[in-house]
Amino acid sequence: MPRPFARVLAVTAVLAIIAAGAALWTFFNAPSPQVTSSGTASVGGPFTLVDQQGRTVTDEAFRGRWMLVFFGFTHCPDVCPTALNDMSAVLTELGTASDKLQPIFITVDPERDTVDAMSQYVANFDPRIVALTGTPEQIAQAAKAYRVYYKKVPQGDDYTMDHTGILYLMDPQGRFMTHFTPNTTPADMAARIRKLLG
Amino acid sequence: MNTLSMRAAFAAVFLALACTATQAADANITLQDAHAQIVFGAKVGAAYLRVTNGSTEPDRLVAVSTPMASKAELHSVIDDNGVMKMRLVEGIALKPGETVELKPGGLHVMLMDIQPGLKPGDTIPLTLTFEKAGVKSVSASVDKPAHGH
Repeated sequence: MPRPFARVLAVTAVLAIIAAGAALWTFFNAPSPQVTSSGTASVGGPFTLVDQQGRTVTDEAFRGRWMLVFFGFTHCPDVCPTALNDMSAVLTELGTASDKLQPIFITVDPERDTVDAMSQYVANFDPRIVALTGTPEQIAQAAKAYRVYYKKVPQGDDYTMDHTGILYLMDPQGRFMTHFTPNTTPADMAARIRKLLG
Repeated sequence: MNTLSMRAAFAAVFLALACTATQAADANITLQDAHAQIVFGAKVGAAYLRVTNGSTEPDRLVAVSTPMASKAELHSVIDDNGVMKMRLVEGIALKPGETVELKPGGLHVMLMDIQPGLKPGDTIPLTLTFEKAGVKSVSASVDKPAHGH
């Protein structure tokens, strides 16, 4: 081996050892990464609302069962009936396991969605769906708990509501488990829920 | 042939061509699978259908009306990061040969103040106005709710 080459090799080896040492030092001395989670704790929480029979209910009433929660409004011709049809289809798909699931529809339009309006509206869907309305303050509280966005938008001489179209699945302790986007098929939703129900 | 009769002849040919063109475009708009999702007891509903422009000219669906609702409007639904926004659209453009599907979660005809008493299987007559093809009619059948009762 020619001497210059050996020297290069030796220098490289020394540099490699230094680099490895530095890497090890960094590894053991680096501060442990901060774990931040925006998951389970932030979605869901207490609410006090009125069901389609006019009874006051709180989130506590649903403890012990899974909740599938959707926010919408009755002057909604497309997104909301589709979501409620999907909820109905999920219940059918789950069969006997559906006993463990409570689907809940909460209005974001308390101004028009009286107890009567909600009662007539949900009569079109599976009777196990609970429809909740309340005062604007109660609705605001529930929406805030679920991180649901809603906004009144003028349209012609009327108005529509922009609203989060996500369905939230909460466990029997009221903790957020997962969510479904509006384009999830009922079959997919039912399959994922069935897995979680155990 | 004098200039006047030449002009008259041209006008006649032009008119004949124009009429043929209008008729052809009219014949080339096809409306299929019209149905309506009505939430009984609710004031609003939505009608859906497939619109095909079979002509070689672009066209535009500009208005919808029905005697069964006080107002019918073309709407679209925008999914803005999970926030659903329903907006009025001024019209729906149809390229030559294009089929546009009005379907749940997208474009639809919003029916306002629907006549009460409609049942699944009833039909809602819809009149669609196109920029070029003119007025076309179709009957939308009222869907059964997912949960029959």
